[in-house]
Amino acid sequence: MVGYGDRLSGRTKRGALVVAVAVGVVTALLFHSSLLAYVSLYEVSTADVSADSARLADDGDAIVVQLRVSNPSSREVTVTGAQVFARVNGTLVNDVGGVEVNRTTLAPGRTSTVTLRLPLLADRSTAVSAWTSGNASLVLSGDLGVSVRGRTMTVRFEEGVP
Amino acid sequence: MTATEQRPRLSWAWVLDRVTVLAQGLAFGSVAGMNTFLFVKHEAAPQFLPQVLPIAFIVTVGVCTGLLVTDARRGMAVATVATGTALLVHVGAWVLPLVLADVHPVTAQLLGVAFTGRAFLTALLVLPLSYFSGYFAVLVGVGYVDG
Repeated sequence: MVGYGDRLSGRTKRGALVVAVAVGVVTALLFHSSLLAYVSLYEVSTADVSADSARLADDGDAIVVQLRVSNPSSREVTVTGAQVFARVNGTLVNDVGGVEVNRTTLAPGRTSTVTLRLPLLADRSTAVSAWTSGNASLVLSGDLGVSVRGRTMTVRFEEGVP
Repeated sequence: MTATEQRPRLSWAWVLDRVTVLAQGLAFGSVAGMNTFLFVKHEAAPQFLPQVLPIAFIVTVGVCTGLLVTDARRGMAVATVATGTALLVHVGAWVLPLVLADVHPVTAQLLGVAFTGRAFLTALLVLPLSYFSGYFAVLVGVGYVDG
């Protein structure tokens, strides 16, 4: 039974070849897409976050921060939330629970701006004025919540804003 | 091995024969390996793909190996090459982000070892079973018809 080629008709062998090629092509397409998605999850964890600008809001109750976030992956990434600690000379000045983030979509391979609004705590006005007068710098640290293809993850950052 | 077998001589025909075995094994193996990755990392695969379908594909590739390589001894060589290739494809795909993404070298090293181990284990649980069940089904079928 070692060589059984003559047991199989030519039609069977041709059919097997067609099926094998079809399965191969379909697999390659699915695999390509899946591999890119899988790699993009790790690429997102190495995203670059830098603080573009931070200023006091017009009503004086919050700090508006512009962050520049890069998307090094090949997939669209959506920023869905953030946990931010804003400190001046070590004093926490924002209400951590009240951070507002605009739901921003980051195109693959590009750097985009994400705007955060950090409501201030009521009794930290001395620290805040130390920053606004230029005597101290503001340090922002925390996590950005991002979503890639339905999976959520966080990107940690720590930035100083003079 | 039969008594009438000649010692293999280093001729172009012999080399071509070996290269054919390698090529077939690589072809079948890479498809099987890609499907193993799709099954194990099904959360990275497209949403519409049922998790079981890649397994069906691996079985199909095994059946096609049996039907296209119609010599049982060559078939064993091809299947071995295919299994090795599939393992390499699966482990390679699993470890790829550490190579491509800008991960810190120490992290990459630690994760690389962990990923390689996990990838090997998951592939060994899934791949030989599916692939060889397809291949041996053909052998059993032909053997039954023969006898």
